Amino acid sequence: METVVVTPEGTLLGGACLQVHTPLPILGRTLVLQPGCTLRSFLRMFVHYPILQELSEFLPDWVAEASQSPEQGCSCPEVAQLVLGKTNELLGFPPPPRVEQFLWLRGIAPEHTAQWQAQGGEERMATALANVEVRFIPATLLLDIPLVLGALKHTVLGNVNHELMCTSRFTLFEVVDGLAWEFSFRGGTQQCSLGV
Amino acid sequence: MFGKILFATTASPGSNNAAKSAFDLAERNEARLYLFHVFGAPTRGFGHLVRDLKSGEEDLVDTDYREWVQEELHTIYADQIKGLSKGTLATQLAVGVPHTEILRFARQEDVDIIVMGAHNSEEDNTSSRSRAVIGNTMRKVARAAKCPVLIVNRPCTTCWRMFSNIIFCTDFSKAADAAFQFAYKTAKEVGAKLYLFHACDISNALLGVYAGQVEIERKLAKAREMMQERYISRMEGFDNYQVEIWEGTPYVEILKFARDKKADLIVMAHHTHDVHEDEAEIGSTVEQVVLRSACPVASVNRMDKVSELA
Repeated sequence: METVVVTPEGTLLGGACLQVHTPLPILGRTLVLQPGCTLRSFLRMFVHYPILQELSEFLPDWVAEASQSPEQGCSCPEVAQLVLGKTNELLGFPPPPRVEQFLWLRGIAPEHTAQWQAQGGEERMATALANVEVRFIPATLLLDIPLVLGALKHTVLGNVNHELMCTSRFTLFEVVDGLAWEFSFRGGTQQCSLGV
Repeated sequence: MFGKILFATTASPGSNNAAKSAFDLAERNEARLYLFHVFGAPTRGFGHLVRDLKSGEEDLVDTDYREWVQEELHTIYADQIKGLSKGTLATQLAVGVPHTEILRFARQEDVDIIVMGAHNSEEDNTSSRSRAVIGNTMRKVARAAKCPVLIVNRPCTTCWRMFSNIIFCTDFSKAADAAFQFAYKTAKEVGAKLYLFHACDISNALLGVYAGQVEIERKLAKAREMMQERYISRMEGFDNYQVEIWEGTPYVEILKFARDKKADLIVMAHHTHDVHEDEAEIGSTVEQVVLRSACPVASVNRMDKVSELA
């Protein structure tokens, strides 16, 4: 299996750990995150390989905003760990039957990290515990939170009670595209403080 | 501004954000609020058997079941109901295809605005990318409703009366004129700043040729003229507005602009000028904006009710 490695500094390493200069031919390779990778690693990657920003209309804007943030300490107390996972849904109703596959980015709350670490940082456990919505949190509060690739959550016939967690692989394209999709939602505050 | 408000709800978490806006609107306007719920889709056409949204099991719609659902609705929205004036809430239950029943009831009661969430559940919002659509009921209601439809997809950060930035997005279509009237009247009513926004679509090539700078400049100048002619000239004495014309992919630019101006409400016509209103599915621009917008989006496609609003 051909892989491409992302380093915490945002460099892409191809075969024999050689630095990649043109990322487009390797978009379909399986992505491996080096320990210590965060969203800032991807920010650096987008700056280093600007052609990747062209994969989504929302990326240049996100890169511009994230680039304005402090160089360290961009995290928030609600999220201890970010997980980029994948969901595969088999839907039978309403007809016709179909399969949907999509990526999502969510966070693991600090109180659940001990449980996750007790399992050796296992990717299926990370996927199961990732239930903190991060779309409302500005990029400047997420950049330095550790990021891992999760597992594939397979939902059978739309029944969330019958979920199967499977190990999976993510291509570089999937990850860039999935992150861009999540970044397109940023903005807005979490909840109206006035209430009703 | 609104005398009758229809809040169509599945009573699932997907409707919670819309509920907040609907109850707030009703409270501020001292309007009559219809809490409207359509029982789960009949399993075979129009029967008495429905699929309960909570348990997923088939149930018979009899008096007991109706009473139970009504009680459930009142329990779910108990806190919000407390804020309403006495006698202003009416709970309505219906059996049938949700969008048909919502439209039928809206027409029957001549409501001024319909408030809805975009999806049944939060999970739908996550997976909507691959589905590439907002909820089917939402689309069909937005297309055919004679009154404005307020789509609340994410938590609304301010209450209606405290809105300070309203963005009206136009493609200069006939439907956009109705949307303008709604945005203008709302801005005047709540004392908000009205942004008149147009995004020149330069993402598509005509016969394989992309527009050059001169052509783009010409389009921008034309858009300014049309803003003046179609909208600014109709604002009598209202000067709290700003015109912005950007270039790019319309929904991307609208979202960027809304974020930049910390918009409280986006008002748009629900489909483009190329399609007749009776044939239009919800325009892709509206769909993309609804999906991602941090603030509520009002989709307006006909002048009928808008012209009557105070």
